[in-house]
Amino acid sequence: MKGQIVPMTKWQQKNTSENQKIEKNDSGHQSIISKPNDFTTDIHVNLNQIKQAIGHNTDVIFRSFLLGSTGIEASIVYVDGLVDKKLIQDQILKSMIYDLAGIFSRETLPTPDHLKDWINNQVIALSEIKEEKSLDSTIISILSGSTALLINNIDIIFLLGTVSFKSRSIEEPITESLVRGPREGFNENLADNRALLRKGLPDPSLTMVEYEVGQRSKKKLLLLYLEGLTNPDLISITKDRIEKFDLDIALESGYIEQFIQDDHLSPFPQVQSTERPDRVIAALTEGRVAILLDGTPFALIVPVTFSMFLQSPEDYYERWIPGSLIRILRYLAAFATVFLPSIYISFISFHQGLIPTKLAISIAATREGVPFPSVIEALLMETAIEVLREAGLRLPRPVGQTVGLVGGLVVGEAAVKAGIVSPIMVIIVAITAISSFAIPQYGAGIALRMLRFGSMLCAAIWGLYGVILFFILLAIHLCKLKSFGVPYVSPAAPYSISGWKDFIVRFPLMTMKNRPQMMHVLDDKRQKDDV
Amino acid sequence: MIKQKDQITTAQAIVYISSHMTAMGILTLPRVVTSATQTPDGWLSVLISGLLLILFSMVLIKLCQRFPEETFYQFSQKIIGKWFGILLSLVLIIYFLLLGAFEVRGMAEVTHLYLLPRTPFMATVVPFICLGVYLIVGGINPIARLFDILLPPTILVFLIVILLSLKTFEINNLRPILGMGVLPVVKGIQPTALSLTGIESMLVVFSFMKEPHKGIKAATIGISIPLFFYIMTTIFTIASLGVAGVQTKTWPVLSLFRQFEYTGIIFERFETFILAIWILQIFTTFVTCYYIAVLGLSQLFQTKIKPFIFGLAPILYLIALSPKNINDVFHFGNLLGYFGLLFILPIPLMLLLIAIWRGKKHVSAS
Repeated sequence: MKGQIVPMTKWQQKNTSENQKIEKNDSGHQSIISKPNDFTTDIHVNLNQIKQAIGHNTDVIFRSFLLGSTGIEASIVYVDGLVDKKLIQDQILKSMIYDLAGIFSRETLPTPDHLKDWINNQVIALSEIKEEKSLDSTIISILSGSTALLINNIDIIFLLGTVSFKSRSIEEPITESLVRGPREGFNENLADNRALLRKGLPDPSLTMVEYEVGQRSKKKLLLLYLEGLTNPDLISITKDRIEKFDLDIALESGYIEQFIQDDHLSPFPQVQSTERPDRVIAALTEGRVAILLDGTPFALIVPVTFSMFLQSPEDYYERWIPGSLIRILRYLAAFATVFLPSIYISFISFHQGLIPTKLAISIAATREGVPFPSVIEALLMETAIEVLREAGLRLPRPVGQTVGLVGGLVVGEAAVKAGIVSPIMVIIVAITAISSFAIPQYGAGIALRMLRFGSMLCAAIWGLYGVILFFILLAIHLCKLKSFGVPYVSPAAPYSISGWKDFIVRFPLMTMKNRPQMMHVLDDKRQKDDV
Repeated sequence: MIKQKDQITTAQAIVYISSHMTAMGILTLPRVVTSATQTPDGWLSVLISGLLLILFSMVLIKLCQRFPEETFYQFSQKIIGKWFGILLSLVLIIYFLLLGAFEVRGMAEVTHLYLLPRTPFMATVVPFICLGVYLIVGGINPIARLFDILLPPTILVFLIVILLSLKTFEINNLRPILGMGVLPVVKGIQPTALSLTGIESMLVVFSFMKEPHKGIKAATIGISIPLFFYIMTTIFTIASLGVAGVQTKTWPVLSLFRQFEYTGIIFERFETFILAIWILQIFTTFVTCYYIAVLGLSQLFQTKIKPFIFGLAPILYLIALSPKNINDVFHFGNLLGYFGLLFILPIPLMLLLIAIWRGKKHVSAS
């Protein structure tokens, strides 16, 4: 993205925080006045414009009627299926057709201004109503579920908020299930997700900035942060990156992630995605920025550090001793995921002298008759287990389990019996695979599994020295990596006491009085000192 | 937070000094010292030379504190004139180049002996230098962060393994303390030079410190950590191998960790762990030398740093492979130790005196 100049005119920014909303509305109103009006006072001309743009679609419904006894022609346009029809019937058609009779009649025709005022204030009992002069915006709004109301003699169009779309109910997040913790997860509806966050964090400083992404998809994107707490530099750098990219459609927050991340070549994810509102809230109060996209249950959190991928919300919900021990276990699992097969390969192929004699003999006995060098054996098995994992994931759940069973047990057993692989290799591969699933973040797990292959190759070439070289390489890469200006290896380096309280060991909550230092927040106390 | 300047914290400076000091010397120190003292009092020599070093480092830091935000390459020209300054800077650059190459060669020797007996040096040295290039391109901050990450596991593994070696600890090997008087201890001070060089990197790295007034604190703690390693290693090695045993081993420290076995747990021998963390620490030293040399060249010629990074890599490789055998390597190392001492005491002292005499001081922009 750097250095690439993208025209920013396609971006509309709205701010829904309380103070700025009024301000924006004012300026928005002024811009409508200054903009040329696409519509005329003749309803038929206006309707024809809309019909030409989208009228050929069968799901666009045009309904014409008369305003009660006045005989003024009016029309509504909406997309079938995106709107609440009952709402349209009860609150728009009924009131426009019937309630009018008592106020106006053919003899006392209202002036257009009077009518406008009357529609805005007295007739339509909907919470969202907007006057629009631009044809393009009208079309987009209709296609997003608004109902357009056209009235003869009035040269603007009323857009009524009637959008109603069936969304999935709030369910338990599948990718991040916990033993203890809230069972709520995000769904595909932005309004629901936003409400979940508001409900969990009813703090006035929670600010939501709205963007629209995708020239064609016109998805709503929300940038969330806590005003007065989050570092302003972080907010501006995130806004900057969101405003700079340009794409056609944004189907999932993964699109956004790939455009705003720092390093495209790194195997490590530099943005955290989560389905859990509690995780987003925790991140916000740590001074991070969250991004929600309409149409996906995955929220993004930036900036992230490597240690975050080995943390689970449960670490904080459980008492600190089990929480810490489980976290240490995850660090060991992460290490095993990358290095266990390579260490095994280097001991077997290069340094038999470094393992205890008895163990060396028993390993040698099981490897008898295996036709491959250990690295080929390991690569075969690791590839097989990755294929199994992928196959199990794609199939329907009951079949997936069968695949796991057949692949893991039957093929593994048969391979050992046939003498193609040694039983110890099967054990090593199985431990590695299980370790990789102990990593709470799916994306981080994938990264580490990929690196395992690099580490095995290094071990095959240089033995233990190669493993050490690969470790240094990995450490260098992590040290060079930054996520939105924060070193990826924080809080391991640079050293920070407050960061270490929540690193490998999760200290008791009452000792974690300050927010993480790496975030450079404006208000770093989260507990009073004297309590 | 977002626009981080090229600065390191005081803690990072401490880690930097410790990482740079902990290098080749630690594996040979007990032999070198004991050969000179011929008594078990070598650890006293190490202690004394460490304390002396802390004293010397104050001169060095005082000199640097007169010119915060400037490296040796910059302020030496101000103190003794342009040409002498450039000459002295070139000598320092050559010193760091040689030291870096020496560390690589030492690493290759040990790897050859313990891990990869049939692999040619080229295959171990080339990837090592390449990793250095990859890191240095990122500048001082990633380097400092890497050192930060590598130090805690180093200390942890070192402490665990050295405590495991208590199994062969023989207190009688350390007795009598000062049995032959103080003279052997004094004799032992001088050969520790190579092990204790490292503080001279502050001549350059000091300019990156965020809080220059804490320089002396950083140097003192930074020297104390490796000094603790060295003293512990010397005591434990002499206690296990005895005065005579220590002198006959090329790498007495690795021999120490080969001495004992713990059966019943997965690993019976622990020199692998020591070797692993030692290679990590060699890497830190190598990177520091490499970076300081490259930085010096780019500051002297006032050009970009990248061409020098790539240009010096083959030179380092050639220097590293030039000693014919391990004795040449040790000889080379001894010379470097004295060379390094030159930059720890005499040169900084001279420069400091001249600077005071001529009233040269950094004039801050504000």
